[in-house]
Amino acid sequence: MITGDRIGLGWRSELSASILSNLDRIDLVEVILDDYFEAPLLKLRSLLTLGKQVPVIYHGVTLGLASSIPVCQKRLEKLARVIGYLEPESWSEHLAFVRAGGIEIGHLAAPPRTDATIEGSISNLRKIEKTVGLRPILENIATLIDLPGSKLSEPTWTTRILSESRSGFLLDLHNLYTNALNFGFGVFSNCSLSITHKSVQQ
Amino acid sequence: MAFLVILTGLFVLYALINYTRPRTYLGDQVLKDLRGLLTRLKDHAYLLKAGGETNEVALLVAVFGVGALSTDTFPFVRKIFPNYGSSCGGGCGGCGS
Repeated sequence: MITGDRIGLGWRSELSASILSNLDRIDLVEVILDDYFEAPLLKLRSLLTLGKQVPVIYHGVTLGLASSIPVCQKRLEKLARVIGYLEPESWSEHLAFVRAGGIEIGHLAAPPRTDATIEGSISNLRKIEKTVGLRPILENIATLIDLPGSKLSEPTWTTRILSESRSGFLLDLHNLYTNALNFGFGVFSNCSLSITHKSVQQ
Repeated sequence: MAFLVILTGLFVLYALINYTRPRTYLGDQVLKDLRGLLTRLKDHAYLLKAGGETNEVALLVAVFGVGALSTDTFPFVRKIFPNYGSSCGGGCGGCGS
């Protein structure tokens, strides 16, 4: 739910001291969940302590859920352990794929916007909810190329996934702006569908 | 009667142990967590400069103790606390230990 603009930083160990010593100027901190998949409980507990100093939002980057390929169950179980311990109100992930055919891309890639990837995404979201107990808020990504085979516009594709999966939306304005520059459309024309979407939560 | 005396003795012992502890159990936990969050700061303490441009020095001392400061940059630490030095790391002294 949008409750006003807040300015935050991504939690990085390099920035930890600067963040903790300037909390009066930081509204929130974003923690990457994937960094804690293998973390012992002591390290996870430190995130709870961090959450007592400053509001923390949790974000995932490696599920690659926007794909016709099922999300890796092992990865989900690690995520479930972290989410189960931290018990956040919400967490977010990208509408992207990050691996295929056994190859890790190491990048948040846009899938072809087709019915197949919509169905795959929704199926993955069901699997995530079943294992983790909480489905993610979904974030739009930036892409350099419009993949061949895309049959739907980004707003249509995104809106269908959001509405059919009843997921919340994290509207990344930077990614939206980047796509607008890369593909030459007006930011406001493209986001008009999404930004007014009742699913926008962040 | 003996039972009450034993109970009183146990309670006094419990009170003494807790009263003489520098911190509560929760305080220990929070400090341990903060040390975990700020490991990087401690590892790079030698990069901190004297002069108060940032308050990271204060944070380092509060969480890891004066001993975490580099005695090259903060030579007065060795004068004030002769037993403390960079080599002893966190927990050697100061209010954070």
